[in-house]
Amino acid sequence: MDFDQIDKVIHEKGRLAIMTMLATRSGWPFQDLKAELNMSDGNLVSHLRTLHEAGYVAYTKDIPDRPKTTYNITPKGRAAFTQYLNLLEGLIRQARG
Amino acid sequence: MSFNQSAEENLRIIRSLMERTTTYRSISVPSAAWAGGLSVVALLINLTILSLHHLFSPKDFLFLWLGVLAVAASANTILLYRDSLRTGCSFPSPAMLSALRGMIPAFFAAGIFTGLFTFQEIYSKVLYHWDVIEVPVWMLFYGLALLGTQYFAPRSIVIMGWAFLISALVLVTMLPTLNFFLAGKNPSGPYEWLASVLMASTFGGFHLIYSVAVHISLRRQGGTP
Repeated sequence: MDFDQIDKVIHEKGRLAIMTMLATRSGWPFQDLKAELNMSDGNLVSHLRTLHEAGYVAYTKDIPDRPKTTYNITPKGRAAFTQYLNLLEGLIRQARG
Repeated sequence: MSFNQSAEENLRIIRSLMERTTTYRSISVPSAAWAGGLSVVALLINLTILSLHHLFSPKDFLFLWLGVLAVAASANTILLYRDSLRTGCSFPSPAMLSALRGMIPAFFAAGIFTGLFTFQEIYSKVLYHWDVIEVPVWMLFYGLALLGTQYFAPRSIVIMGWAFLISALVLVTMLPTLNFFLAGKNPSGPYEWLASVLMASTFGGFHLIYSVAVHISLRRQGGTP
């Protein structure tokens, strides 16, 4: 199995955590992600931007009384996450013989 | 760290995050303790009024326990809101909305049953002690409401849901026996004290047991009860 097949965008721990959260449930407000992952604003924004640029994450902005940004995983992101999980499992299975 | 170690570490992160984010405790430990305590207070109110005035109608019973439900639900909402302020999460959170969606069908059915029993006279004629029968009906639907959240609820909530459901079914089968013993003493009732005793021992008792058990369990795990 080729290690180069591993998606480098997802393989970073912070972004992996974000993708996991978004894969489990739809519609994550920024504040909830921040609280669950215990990340700083800057760190979280940076990872979300990388994931958005890769087409894995989409967001919507609502401004009813105060601005609120909600994040969702895109179909492309879900497919990449599933493929990443399958590769990871395959690698571990291979290593264990 | 080798690539395989890093792969295993990443799978561990995924597993722990998935478990954490897909679990939602719809009843906080302090509000369960509140519900238990309030049930005991409601029973005492019922018994005191009955001993002073020798009268406690089925509607008195209904409004007393709806009051307990309203206070317990309000306390739970306030505590969950305070928790969201502490953690910085939104309120209502997506998990809370999912839990509510799971519970609404059972609460809706319980509301219809209660309305029919209380305000449709035909039911009080057919079901003479409808207030006593209402107890297993409420327990059944409350148990089903809790079980409606079982796919993302912690084990303690699921156990409590089953406890309510099984107790309701046992109680329904026991009602004729209870009636046989009680009818000999006072054929015309009132039976509201019995209904309140059943409510305090099940609704109150189960919530108190839940709050103590979860408190001990979370303390052992080093979490915040």
